Amino acid sequence: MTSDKYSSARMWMLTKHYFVENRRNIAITCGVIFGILLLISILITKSSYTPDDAALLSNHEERNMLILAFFCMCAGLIMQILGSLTFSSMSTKSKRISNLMLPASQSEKFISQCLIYVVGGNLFLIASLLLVDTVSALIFRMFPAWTMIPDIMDFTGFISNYPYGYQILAMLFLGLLAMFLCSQAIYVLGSAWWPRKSYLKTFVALFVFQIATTIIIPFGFLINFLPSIARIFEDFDISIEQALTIGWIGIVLAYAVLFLIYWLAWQRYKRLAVVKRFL
Amino acid sequence: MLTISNLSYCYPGSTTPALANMTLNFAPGAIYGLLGANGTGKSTMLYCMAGLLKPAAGNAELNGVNTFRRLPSTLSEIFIVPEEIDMPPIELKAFISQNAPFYPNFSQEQLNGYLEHFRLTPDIHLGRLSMGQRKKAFVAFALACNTSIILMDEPTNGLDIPGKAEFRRAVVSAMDKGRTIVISTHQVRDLDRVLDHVVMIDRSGVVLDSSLAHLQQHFQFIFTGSPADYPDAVWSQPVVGGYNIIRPRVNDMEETDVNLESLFEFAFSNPEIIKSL
Repeated sequence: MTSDKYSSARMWMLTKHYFVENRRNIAITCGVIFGILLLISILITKSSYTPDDAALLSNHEERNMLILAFFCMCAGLIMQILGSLTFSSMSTKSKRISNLMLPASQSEKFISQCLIYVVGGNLFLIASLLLVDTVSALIFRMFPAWTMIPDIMDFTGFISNYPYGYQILAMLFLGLLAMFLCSQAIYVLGSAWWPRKSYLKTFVALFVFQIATTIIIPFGFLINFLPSIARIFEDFDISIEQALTIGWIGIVLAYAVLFLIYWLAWQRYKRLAVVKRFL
Repeated sequence: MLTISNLSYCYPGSTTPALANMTLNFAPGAIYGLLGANGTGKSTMLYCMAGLLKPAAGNAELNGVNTFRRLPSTLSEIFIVPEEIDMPPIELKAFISQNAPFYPNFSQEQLNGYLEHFRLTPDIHLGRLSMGQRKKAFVAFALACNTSIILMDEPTNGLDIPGKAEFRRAVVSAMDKGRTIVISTHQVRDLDRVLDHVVMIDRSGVVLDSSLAHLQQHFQFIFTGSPADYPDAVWSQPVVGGYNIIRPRVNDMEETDVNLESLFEFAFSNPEIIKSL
């Protein structure tokens, strides 16, 4: 532990330190996440079947698709909340003093907190998504009236039966992942900027930003340039290969944006002092 | 050695500097009292010394390293005991096992001694302690970390009467020639027998920076019923039952304890005499 910039031993010690000191809050957060997902799974399953249901198979599919859709929505929201908790150790003056005075480098503190709330949180979320369905199926087995036991969702079947080929599937997966991770990264940046009430403040800031970028600016832009833009696309013809290339470029750009957001969060974090400044 | 050079700091949104052009050296082996009226920047100065605030000008250095760089090697040599302490709601022994490894000179044996001194046990739960007990536990840990600098911001706030005495004894017993303790306080009576050196500041800068031994050499601090008996007094103030006076001490005059309350009033009302010391 002699390096002043980075020491992996010190970083793991720091990660353990954050984990142990925040274990109560982390346990509550994990419990709430699992509970919400389980509740959704149970409610959807219950509404998808009746005891005398004849068309079981179609109900399985309907239920699985519904659960998958809700899980995706919940996963996005939960990832954002986890992101906004990342720098909760800086939320009050006394917490900032404790955290800033801990003998470890700023980079170790940044990485440790990201490891717990982003990496650890996301892994817990994935494990919960996989486990919740099994738990909900087990709960239904406990009630004799529900003889039509729902299948446990088969994710591998979804992948092997995907009709448009593995490349598009991979693109879809990486694209969705980038979207989720970027949305989470924005909340991590928000947490570095406003460690207190981070989710709410980031949400409002994003809302204002989105209003500005999706309504006001494009509105003015479209009014002036729409006719000329429309002319460009009149003879626009694109092959599958070109579409795939554009897709991959888009995905690479999305991950570059992800990296940029984390870099901004790091820049903000390392400038944090006991008294906060806007910049 | 901890030094601050031409240090200035201005809080965000404020046009008046909280600290202006402060230059001080904090030598090892002494307990410094940092005194000043409310709002004169005592806590701000401690934060700047610890590297918790970025000075607008000047810097604070520990052994030549700018503390605001917050290098782990610097942070493991500075411990700050803030006025309001944040401790996680876990058992004290868990807190110690998670924090002690960051301080290479931490001594479990010393910690046990300080805890015993404060009548605490390692299996207490920090979430169930009163503010004063939490402060005692934190001070015990701070002293056992054996950092070369300990900065304390109003450490006796929230301590009961026996707690204040325990605190004084613990601080004095923790002193060695390689360690510097800086205590910012406005409760001078709690600590006047502990301090070796006194620094008084106001918003314009350092008003007094002197060891108590030096002050004792130059002044006598006397409580009297009749100030007329001391025509050479440079300062007197009526208090309950009499007067506190300060007079120059020459040759064979008896040495007296420094009355910090009187010194404080005297220093701010007679800066020219203080500067001539």
